[in-house]
Amino acid sequence: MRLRDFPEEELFLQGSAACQGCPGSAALRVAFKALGRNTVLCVIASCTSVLQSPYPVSALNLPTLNMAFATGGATGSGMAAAAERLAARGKFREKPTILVWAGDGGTYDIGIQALSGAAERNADFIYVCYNNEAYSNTGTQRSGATPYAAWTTNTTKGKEEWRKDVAQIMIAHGIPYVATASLAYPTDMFRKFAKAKEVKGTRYIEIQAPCPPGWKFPSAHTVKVARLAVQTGMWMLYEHENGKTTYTAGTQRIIQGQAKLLPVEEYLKAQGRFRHLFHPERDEERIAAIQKRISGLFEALQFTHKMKEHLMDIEISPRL
Amino acid sequence: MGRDFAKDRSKERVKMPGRKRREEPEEIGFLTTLSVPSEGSVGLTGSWRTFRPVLDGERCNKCLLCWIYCPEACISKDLRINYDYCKGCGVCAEECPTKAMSMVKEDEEEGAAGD
Repeated sequence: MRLRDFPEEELFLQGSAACQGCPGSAALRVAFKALGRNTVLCVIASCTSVLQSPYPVSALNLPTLNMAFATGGATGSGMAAAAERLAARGKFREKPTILVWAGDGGTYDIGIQALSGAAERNADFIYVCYNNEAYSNTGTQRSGATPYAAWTTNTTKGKEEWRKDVAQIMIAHGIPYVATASLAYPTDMFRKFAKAKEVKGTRYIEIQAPCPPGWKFPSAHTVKVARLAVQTGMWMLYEHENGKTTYTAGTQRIIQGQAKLLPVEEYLKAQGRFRHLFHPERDEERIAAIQKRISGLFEALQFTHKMKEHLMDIEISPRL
Repeated sequence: MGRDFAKDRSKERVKMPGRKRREEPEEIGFLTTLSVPSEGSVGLTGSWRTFRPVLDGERCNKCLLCWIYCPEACISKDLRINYDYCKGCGVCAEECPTKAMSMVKEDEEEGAAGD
């Protein structure tokens, strides 16, 4: 899928209440383009509840249900069940796609119980977590998705714990499709949404959303920071289906050795929330700890990739 | 565009059963919890802008990256910029591979900012 083949129709209407350079609205645009008009949206309390603008107007040109923080999975299940019954009675020309759109607070911390239940029942909807790694809506408080050493209003000297990985938790539920996406790779994101649309069952897509006011960088750098996250290995792009993980786009290029893994410093220096690692003096210990984690992971992935290529050689070799 | 919903709703006025209708101003209309999709839902957001993106048609290679990266859907697929709603975030100018998009300060003349 090339950029020029993307549909022209905009279901996200301009003049919304989003901040300048908002990653949430940018992600919504690509998602809507991939899923099309026949979609019913459920928005969980997050920045999206704000950026769709105050009553009585809305910037989202789709049927939207606004729900409470903890109810993402439960509402999605209910909407999927309703759509199935109505489809059985012949009320639809084409069955709509159910899209639940939640932030990282509504997924990692408050909503994970309902999401886990829905994934266990394999309810038929797409769950999207756009992950800006903090409660940006209420002024950047720490969440379960906040990375190690990042500033938030609760962790003024940097978070002491490592972030949890809900995409891996969702893979452990054994649902049919799990993917991660990045704003900087729109064709990759579009393909993942288009693929998720065709799958039946619970589908989970997580998008990293660099938030200019929360992460403290200029609004023009939203896409640049998203790209740096992939290039430095702080965010990984993959999709998981049929029990197999495939790495895609920028992450795949690093693993296959076509691109170099950039030092994590470049990503940290681009944002004000990691400034205490460099000013007033460099915090070598914490930078090295982050770099060690990522380098270790990528070395293992590059090694397994080489081994797999090697094994494939043996399989097709006529001498054996 | 925008806030003419009140007028539309007032035409759909529903008579509440068992309640005597009082004389009320016509423009209040029928209240509902539903929101109506509309462009410019918080007004003309172009007023938030300090720098304005300007496209140089000769340098542009029509890669459409600005179109897909624009967080506000203000750049159309045929690369026309809607200055009524553009918030001036600068993502388009930052991501333009040929530097055809440039940010010009609002009160200056086009091209006067230079590079």
